[in-house]
Amino acid sequence: MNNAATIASPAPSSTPLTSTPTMSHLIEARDFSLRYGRKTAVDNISFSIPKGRVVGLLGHNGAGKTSLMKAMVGLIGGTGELKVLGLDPRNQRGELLESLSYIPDVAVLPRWARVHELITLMSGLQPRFSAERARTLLKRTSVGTQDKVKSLSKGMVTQLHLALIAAIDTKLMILDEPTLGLDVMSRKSFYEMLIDEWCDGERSVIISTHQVEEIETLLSDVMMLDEGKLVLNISLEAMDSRFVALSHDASAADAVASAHPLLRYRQQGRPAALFDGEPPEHLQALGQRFRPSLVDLFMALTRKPELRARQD
Amino acid sequence: MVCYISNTPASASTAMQTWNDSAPIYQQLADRLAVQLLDGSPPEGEALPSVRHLASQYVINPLTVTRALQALVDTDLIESRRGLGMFVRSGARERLLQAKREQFLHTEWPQLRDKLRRLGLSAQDLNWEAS
Amino acid sequence: MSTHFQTRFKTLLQREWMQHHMGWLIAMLILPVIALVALPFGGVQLGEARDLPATELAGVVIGLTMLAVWGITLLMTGFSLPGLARRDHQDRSIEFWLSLPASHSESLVATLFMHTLFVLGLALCVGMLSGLVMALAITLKLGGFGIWLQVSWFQLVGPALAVLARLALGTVLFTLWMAPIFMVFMVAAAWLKRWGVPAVITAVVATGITLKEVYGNAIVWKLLGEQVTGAGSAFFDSMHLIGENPSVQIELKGVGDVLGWAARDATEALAQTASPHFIGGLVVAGICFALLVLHRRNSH
Repeated sequence: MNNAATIASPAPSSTPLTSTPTMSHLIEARDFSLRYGRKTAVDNISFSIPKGRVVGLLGHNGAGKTSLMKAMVGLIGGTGELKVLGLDPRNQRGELLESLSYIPDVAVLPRWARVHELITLMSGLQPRFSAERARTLLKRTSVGTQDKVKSLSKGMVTQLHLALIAAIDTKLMILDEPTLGLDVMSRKSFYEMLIDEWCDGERSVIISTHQVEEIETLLSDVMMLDEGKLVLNISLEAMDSRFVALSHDASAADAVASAHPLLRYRQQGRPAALFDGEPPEHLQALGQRFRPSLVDLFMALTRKPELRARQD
Repeated sequence: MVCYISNTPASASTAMQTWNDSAPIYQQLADRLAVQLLDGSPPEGEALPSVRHLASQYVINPLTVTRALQALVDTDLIESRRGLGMFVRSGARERLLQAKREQFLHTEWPQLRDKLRRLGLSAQDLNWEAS
Repeated sequence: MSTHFQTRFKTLLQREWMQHHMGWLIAMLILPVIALVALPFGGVQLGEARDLPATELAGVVIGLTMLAVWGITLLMTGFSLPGLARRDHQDRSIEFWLSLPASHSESLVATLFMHTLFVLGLALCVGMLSGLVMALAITLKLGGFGIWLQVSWFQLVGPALAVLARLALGTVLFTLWMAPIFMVFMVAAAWLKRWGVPAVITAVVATGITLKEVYGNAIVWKLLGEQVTGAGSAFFDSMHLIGENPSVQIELKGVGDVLGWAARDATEALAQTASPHFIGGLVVAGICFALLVLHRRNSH
């Protein structure tokens, strides 16, 4: 019984929230695949992302998140259709990069440079970069403009990179694990900046992260990748109405199991089950409804094969 | 469950809101805003903070905030005035108080009463004067 | 769009300066500094030039310093070029550069320009200025302050600029002649990493020896030789005056002689580019450039 396969992503035309058909989306993908030799990183996915969204891209390591993001910024090419801001990322990379900001998933700032040199270089290379804004953002961190990148700790390098990217005024932000290595306060600061600066209804942010719990409130939509397949592409609003979690007594376990939930787990010590759609009436009486967290849903839909075997 | 209700409109709130699993987040936010309405913040006829302000304060996506405000509109607590924002309806506080009383009397009070009986506490044992 | 390009390109050049200027300046100044420091202690070996009149002596010192600094810079940049193809890959900062708008070609051209034409041109200027200092020091050592008054500095300006111009042109042509050679090394280092340079050397030597000894065909050595001598004479002395008559230099007296020589040598150097070796070399360099673009495109 392959539950994950039945959670097909809705067809691209049924977009979650209000959107007029004439408005072109910031990102559009149709039957898009990425292959490295024999390995398939992204397997025939389709989706579209309108403006004004914060999309969480979730998946285990190797699920294809980083590959998909790299394809969006033109670093690798695949088959099928992928349009970002109306452009072909692979062939119109230069033009595309003037209108989007990208943070790769590794701390990659050049180690020889000083902070003020990086600011100068970015001013010259990225037309939408504001040196003044970068300096303002850096004041809130412990990074000084005279510091050499190689003298900074990993966390400070990340803060620096985030400040530099946040100083770019673009419609689309693609962030691959941007808060990796940051402490809680810095992460919070980043989330606040994200909400304050980037949620104006015109911009969209695509963010991949392992800290699913923290980020849940920031998101408007979520895309889950599992082994290259898009197992879920849904707005948080739709998620609220579609998935139901039930916590029950041990005695109801068999009844629950026979209704084939997506996932059976424990919630605060009690057995619980997660359903796609409304669970049968008789079951609802046996348990208490509660809101499945994004983490629970993620676990349910992207279980590793070994775990799946144990469940069945 | 620990939750902080930040009444200060300061944007850099240091309290990281934690949301429980009882209801969708927008609903929980609506409930929190309703509690503040009960406390008279903001008073009837006054404007609520903007969507962006609330999003920033609670570190929640503005779309979710909009849903929460819509929920309050649906329960006749606030209304949208075009171009001006969301305003607290007159009588909102009273309606809300009434609804909360109903809920307490029908749901929470019976449970509390059973607990009091189990503990063997009577009305005299309860200290009404304590603040 | 084009102003963006100009700003971008200028910034790419600026990046090279920011990252490498210390190393460059140290390499350029180390010889003059050591020579100046050693001067009070050692004798001055100038051979026949010692008998030159003061002005000419100063001129020769300046010229030799320019050539020496240029030569050291050439060695320095020559050894660093293959590594440039992989420069940002080791610390993965290439991902940062690739996240900014700048095409692969722009980035590569900027890097190549700064590490060949610019750095060698800078070496000429630094060489000239430090040569001037050297000339002051040497004439001082040989003849005291009085000599400084004997040197007609004003007379040297013309020839100095002429020689500078000749060598600047020479640098451009030299780089173009040598392009196929250093770019092949860069491509090999890009694709084969640290085995690139040894692999190229081994392959070339093996092919050369095989063809020569087994088939009696010295084509590999001939091609390489033509390319290098072409480069050398494009840089300096395209008329091949030196070697045939060692004392020719000393016979150049006066401003007119030097200016005339510079003009004729430059013309001859340009004429020599009408050669299948030069053109063929550029084609090879072009192919290498395309391969470097391809390499950068696939790095992620």
